[in-house]
Amino acid sequence: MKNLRLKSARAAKDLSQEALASLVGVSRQTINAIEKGDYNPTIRLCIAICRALGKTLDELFWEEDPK
Amino acid sequence: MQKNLSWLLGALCGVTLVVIVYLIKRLTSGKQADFDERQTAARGEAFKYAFFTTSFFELLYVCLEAGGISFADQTVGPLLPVLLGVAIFAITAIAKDAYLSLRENPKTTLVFLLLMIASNLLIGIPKFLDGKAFSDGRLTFDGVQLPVAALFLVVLAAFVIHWFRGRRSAEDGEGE
Repeated sequence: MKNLRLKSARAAKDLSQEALASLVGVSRQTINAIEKGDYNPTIRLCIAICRALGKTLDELFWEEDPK
Repeated sequence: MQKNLSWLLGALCGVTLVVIVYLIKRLTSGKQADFDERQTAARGEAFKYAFFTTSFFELLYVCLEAGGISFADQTVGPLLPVLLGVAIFAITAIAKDAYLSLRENPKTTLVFLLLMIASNLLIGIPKFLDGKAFSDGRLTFDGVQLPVAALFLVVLAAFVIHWFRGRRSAEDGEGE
């Protein structure tokens, strides 16, 4: 599932994938894979991304129960 | 005796080169990890594919030899599945954007691959033309540079295709 909340939070901060990747110490392709839903990051990387974007884990990564 | 000494010196040069490259990498690497967590996982998967490919083709080679079907002499035959495994690892890692570490420059890797192809062809082609690469229809150790060059050629092709596709997708809206 695509992570559009991450993409919009990154865009709101006016950061490119490359810039965010550099801030959290991963490759641009990894940020791209997370946004596309192709890769599930570890909690450590989720926290690093949240800190870089000034968001909480809930705001970026929590998915509501579909029921 | 002379041949043994040459072999020993060659092996010593190889080991020395590996130690020098390792030390340079250790001294020049900073605190940042070489590969990120996604790349590490992808490389692990690539290694798994390479391991099973090598194991399967080694088994096939042994079965063919036992059955009297031989396409390479025993000094080079077991090396061919290893080359295949290396190719599988490299291509899988390239496809998953996990071949280059975070600090590696693609152009440096491109130059390295071109040098490997050129040097192997430079040695391999004259031996092939002299008829030393094959004996009784079987690949000999003198011809080993040809499959090695082919390996690096395949890796180069995968690398270049993926590199240009990655650059284009990055320009067209960051891989979307």
